Order: sequence, then structure tokens, then C-alpha cells
Amino acid sequence: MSALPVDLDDSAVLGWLDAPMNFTARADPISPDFRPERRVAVCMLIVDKCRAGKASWKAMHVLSWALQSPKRVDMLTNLKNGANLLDIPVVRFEPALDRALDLALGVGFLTRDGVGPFELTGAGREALAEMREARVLEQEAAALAAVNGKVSNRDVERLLEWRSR
Amino acid sequence: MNLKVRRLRLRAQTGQGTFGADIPFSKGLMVVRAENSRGKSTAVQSILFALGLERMITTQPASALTSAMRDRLIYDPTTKAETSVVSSRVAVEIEGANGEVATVTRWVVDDSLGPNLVRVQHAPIDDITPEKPVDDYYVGRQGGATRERGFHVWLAGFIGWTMPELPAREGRTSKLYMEQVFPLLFVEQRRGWGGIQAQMPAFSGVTEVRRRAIEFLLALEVGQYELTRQRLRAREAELANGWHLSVAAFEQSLAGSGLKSLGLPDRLQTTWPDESHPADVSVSLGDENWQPLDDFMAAASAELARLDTPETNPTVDANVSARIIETLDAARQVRALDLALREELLRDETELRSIGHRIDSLTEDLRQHQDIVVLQKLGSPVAEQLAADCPVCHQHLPASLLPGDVPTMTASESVEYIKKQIDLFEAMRTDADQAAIAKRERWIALRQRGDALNLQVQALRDDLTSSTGGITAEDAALRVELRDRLQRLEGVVERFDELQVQLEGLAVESAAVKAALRDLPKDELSGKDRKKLRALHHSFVDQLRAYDFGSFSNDMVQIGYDDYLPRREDFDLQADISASDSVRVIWAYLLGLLEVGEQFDTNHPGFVVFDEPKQQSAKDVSFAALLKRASGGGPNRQVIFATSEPLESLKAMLEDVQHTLHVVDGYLLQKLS
Repeated sequence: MSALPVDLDDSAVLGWLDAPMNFTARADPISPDFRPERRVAVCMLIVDKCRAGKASWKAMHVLSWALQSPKRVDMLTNLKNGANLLDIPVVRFEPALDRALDLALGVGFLTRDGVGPFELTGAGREALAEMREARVLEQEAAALAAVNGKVSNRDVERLLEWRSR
Repeated sequence: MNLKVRRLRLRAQTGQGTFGADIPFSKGLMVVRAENSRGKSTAVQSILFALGLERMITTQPASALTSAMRDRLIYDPTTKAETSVVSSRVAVEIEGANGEVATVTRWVVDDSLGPNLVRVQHAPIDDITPEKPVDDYYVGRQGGATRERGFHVWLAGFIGWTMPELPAREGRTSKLYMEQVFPLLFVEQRRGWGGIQAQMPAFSGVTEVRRRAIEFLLALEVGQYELTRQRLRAREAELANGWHLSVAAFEQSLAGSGLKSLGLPDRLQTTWPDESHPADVSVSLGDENWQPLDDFMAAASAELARLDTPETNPTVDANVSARIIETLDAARQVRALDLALREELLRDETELRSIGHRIDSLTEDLRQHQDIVVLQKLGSPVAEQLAADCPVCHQHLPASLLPGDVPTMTASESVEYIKKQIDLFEAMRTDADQAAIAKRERWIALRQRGDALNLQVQALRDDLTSSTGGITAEDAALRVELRDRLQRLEGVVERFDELQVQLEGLAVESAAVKAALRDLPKDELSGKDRKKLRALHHSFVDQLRAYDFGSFSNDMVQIGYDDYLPRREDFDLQADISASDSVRVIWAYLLGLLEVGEQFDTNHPGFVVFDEPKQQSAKDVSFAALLKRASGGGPNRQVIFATSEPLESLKAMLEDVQHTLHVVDGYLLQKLS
């Protein structure tokens, strides 16, 4: 540290510090996982991947969780080929996804019959086609595409309650 | 540049004997008259077929010629009886640059010779005997325009053309194909009158191919600039790569020797050596200090000289044991330093790893945010809806999925914010990397120093037990060590000097390339180019006037300086004119190109073929004026016009026009005796 530019004694410093301070609130940066556009779009990708185009609430959470890291994506890929899962995954349910699902229902991209599975609406399918066209979320789409066929409820259960066969 | 057709010969073997046609062509205006559907188009298309240019008019070479040559021909005009074609060929005698003559033959149907084969014989058609040597080339296949045996490579050379290598899609380059130049020389009846360059095959992926074809035909310099620019950029990339590799190799060679280079930029420089930051190699002294290599070597040489002259040696130090203690102390200090440095190194490397992780996760965040920005810009219902209010309760929808109403950055702000962070961490990574490298070298130097001190202690112990009269063992050990080190360092100096010479050469060339790039006109027409285009404009407007162009006043017509095509006040001229005016425009433009070729140095071969347009589009065109214009000009032009105009009116049209007329009587393919 270089010497102080000005020589000050303590009282002077204290007097100098005794000034009103103003704080301006700045917008927070937030993780992309909390952006409604992204989450709603990912939800639509997931529903599209599920069997018969229907995804239960549980499946939504499990698959959304699985898309969050490459390691989990591998697990998802192995799901179909009957390989034993190597470690017991601990799936977490996150409230942000529930909000995203509510939004998706509200704006009419997904529909849901009571507490039944989520399904894409016509508008949802259009939006999804447009997204694929614009080549966004390519990694997520690729991760889902790496899973053979469609994801069924049984696959989801395997991820949740792991046991070797 | 020259191409003229001198003879056309068709031959077809059938069950009813051999049929064929022979048409002699002369220079100047050459009119071929035949009835429609009696072989007029066959004659014209045969020229294209023989020159391997059928891909200009069709994607299926098999259907390039009329069925009379391919399949069945009418042998009896009265009964229209047909017979199968067993074998048929087209031969054309052409004249090229420097008046060279060759006969080109291509088989349409044959048992043994495929349609991809083109046979070239260097003699007029009538002088060909079985003994004449033949050259076989291929066409319409991969490499037909690029490889040595490709027919179009031969033909380009024969005409005197050098086909340019042009920028194509996806950063590739591709040759300009002949089929892309010939639409400016050859108008085919069926689709050729749709507009200027109506039949432009776009198979090579060359960008702006229409413009490039005109640039080539008129030999405009502006096209050359673009090519030169590409070549220079490629050279610059090579130089940059060479520089990077040289520097990296040198630094690699220093690794693990306690040396570090300073001021060697990784990127290509235009001035070298750089006076303000001279490059240098430093030697680590093991502690915090680094010494320039030259100073270090000078000191080491002096020390060696001192050791080499025994008389300057102080008498043997009686106090050897004190020296041993001193040396042991020094060695201990070095060990302590060594340990501390190793811990620092470990810390630095951990730091580096965590910065790496940080950058990875930031990059992932950036990707996701960029996706969001795209999603928002889709104008799709996704973004629209999410930016609007809740459709049920009409509250404003939250910008985030977090509970509570937190003011959040917009997606594009986030992208900028993350990019800044990545920049910051990248800079930190570079610094940390440099620091770690320097520490590693210091550590190596320390180890070497520690080893040297250990040896010294050994030698001193020897001195203690056996006092020799001459050189002490300590000095002897020191000398060996110093010599060895100096030798190694001299090698480094040598390599460093070589590198300087190399870099200087690269810098000089890079400066030259940069200057050349700067001096290239920004895609602008040169004075000569402008002259050519003015001449084209002049000839074009002049012709429109002569041809009774009726769509609007001729004074409004210009030749665009960006695409070289005729336009009227920034509108494409060909968009809204009558069919007959369209014929006039194409005729005037192609002849205009030919006329410019007669006045200037261009690539125009002085050869144009017009297959008369179908009646309905040409019904108001008086071809007399068009033919008159075509017959003028220089002695070295050939304008071929195929028509089915009634003979009487044709003769009236050609009355006071210089021309050669060949009338096909009845069917083109006649039985040969």
C-alpha cells in the first residue's frame, strides 16, 4: 500500500466520513433458471418428449431436474437401455418450476385436466415449432433427443425410486 | 479470347441407314433457317451439347437433345414413319484463341461410348482420319471443370480463358463454371428469353454468380479486387499461425529450465523488434529476482574466468569449515524457500482451476440467456404472452419465477453483464496462468541452486580432508557446473536469436500484406471498369432506340454499377416490360457485351447464339433491325441466329445486311447415301 495522499488525523477522517449516503437500487441479475421464457419453453420440450404427449406433474419435475447437469443427462440417457443407475439420484422438487407450469397453463400453451397430466395445446405446439425453427435451447433439445423413444411414467418412477433389477 | 463455330456435323445410325446433317458456319451474321419441329432447335442445342454445356438448359443431360438424336427419327417425311436410333453423335469444328482449330465429338447414344466422353482432335472435321491422334476428356462429372482431364478445363484453355476461383457459400471457394458464363453468349429458345441470364445454373454455390459472370466476361477489375482481398486474408492467417507456432515452440523449449521469456507477443505483429518492449529471456535466481539472460551469462563467464586463472585465486581458504557452515546455511534457506514456493504454486493452481470452473458456468449461463433473448425476439406468442398481463387476473406477470417482486435485469442486460464477467475472469485466468508459469520456473531454478549448493558442500568436505596444492575441489566442482550451465544457456541464446530473425521476417511480410489490404479499393469500379460500363450503356441504349423499344423512354435506362444489369431508376428493367420488349432488351444487352468486347480488352470470345424466341413473345419484334445491328461491328464476331421465319420475309429482312444464310430443307437429319 502506498502512503495516503493526504495526511489526516482521526477527527478529520471521522468528520469526513460523516456525510449522508445514498443507495440506488439496481436490478438483480438472476439465474436463467428463473426466467419465465426459458422455463416455459423447457416445459414444452419436456411435455413433447413424454409418452402420448402427456407428462405428469412428477415427470415434469424429474425431467426438469435431469436437464440441469451433463451428469444427470447421462443418467437420463441410460434410463432406457436398462443399465443400472450407478448412484441413487436425489431428485429435488423446485417451486420455480411450479410457477413456470402455472404460467404455461395461464397463457395457454399447456392444458391440464384437474390434477391430471400436462398436455400441449395447439398454441403450444406452434410456439414449440417456432422455437425449434429459431434453434434455441439446442442443448436441452439434444439431451432429450438422446433418450430413446418417449419417456413413460415407469421411467420416471425408476429415477425416483431406484432399485436394481 | 476467341470462340467460333466453323462446322456442325450430326450423325445417327438407324435401322433405315445413316442419317445426318452438315452445316457450315461462317463468321459475321450467320442465319440458320429451318421449320419449327424440323430440327432448328436440334441444330442449336447440338452446339451446346458438343461443348458439354447442356447443364445450362437441363438438369438431365440425357434429354439435352431432341428425340431425333436420342431415340427415334422420322425417316419418311410423307408418312412420318419413324425408326429407332442405334447410335448417334455430334461433332463440331471450332476455332479458339490464336486461330487454333479443333474438332470436338460427343456421342449421344452409343453402345461403347458414354455421353460423358468428349473426344478432341486437333484438326478440321474433314481432315480427320483414323490415324489422327485423339484426346479424350470427360464432362458433366465431378472434376469436369477442375481436373486436368476435365473437358471444360481444356475448352477454357482453348478459348483463352482462365476461370477465376470465386468466394462461395460457407467460406469455400469455387471455380466459375462455363455453364455460368454461357447464358451471356447463348439464348436458347424455350427458356432463354425469360430475361438476361435466365438460365443460370447455381450449382457451385458461388455467391452473386450473375454479377461474377458479367465481371468475368467484361474482365472488370472490381472482381479481381475481391479475389485479391481473399488471397491476402488467407496469407495473413498463415502468417499469424506461423508466428504463433514459432513463439509457442520457443516458449515450450524454455519450460523446465528456470528461464522465462518476456515481451514475446503471441499475436502477429507488423513491427519487430518492438523498440518500446524489447523481447528478452530472463533467468530466475530462485528468489523473487529475475536477471536478464545476457547479464547473467556475462556474470557467469566472469566467474568462470576467475576460476580458470589459478594465480588470482586467493590462497586456499584455511577456514574451510566456516565456509561449510555458510554453504549449509545457504542450502537450508534455499530449501525453506523451495517449500514456500511449492505451497504458493499449489495455491495458484487451485485458483486457476476455480477460475476455470467459474468461466465454464458463466459460459453456460450466457448461452441460456442468449437463448432467452432469442425467445423474446421471436415475436412469437411465447414472448408476447409472457410480456403481457395475466389473462385471468390482469396483474402484470412477474419477470422472474422467484417469490416476491424483485426488480430483475432484462435478458439482454444479463447477457451484457455476463459477458463483462467472462472478460474479467478471462483476464484473471491469463494473469494467474502467467504467474504460475513464472513460479514454476523459479522453483526449478531453486532446485538447481539447491543441488549446486549440495555439491559445493561435498567439495568443501573433500577440501577439508585432503588439502591439495592447486585448485580446490570446491572450485573444480563450481567450474564444471558453470561450464555446463553456460553451454546450455548459449543454446538458448542461439534459438532466441533465430526466433528474432524469423519473427522479423514474418512482421515485414505481415506489414506488407496489411498495406496491400489497405490499398485495395473498397470494391470500387476502376476507371477502366467505368469506361467499359459506359460503353455498354451507350451501345445498349443505342440499340433500344434502333429496335423501337416501346415500354418507356430510352433516356431513363441505365446500367447498374452494382449488378451491371439494365435498370430504370433503381428498378429492374426486366420486371414490367412487354414480352417483345424483353426480347429487345436481351438482344441489346448480349450484343452490347459483344460490342464492348470489340472495343476493350475483355474475356468475350466474340460469339453469340440466338435461338429465335417463340412466336407469341416475338410477334411485334421486327427482327430486321436486330439482325442489321448483329451483322455490323468488327471482322472477328460470330452471331448465330436460328429462325423459322418464312423464307420470303427472311430474305426481305436480310436484303441489305451482310450475312450468310443456311436453309435447311425439310428435316434437318437427312438420309446419307
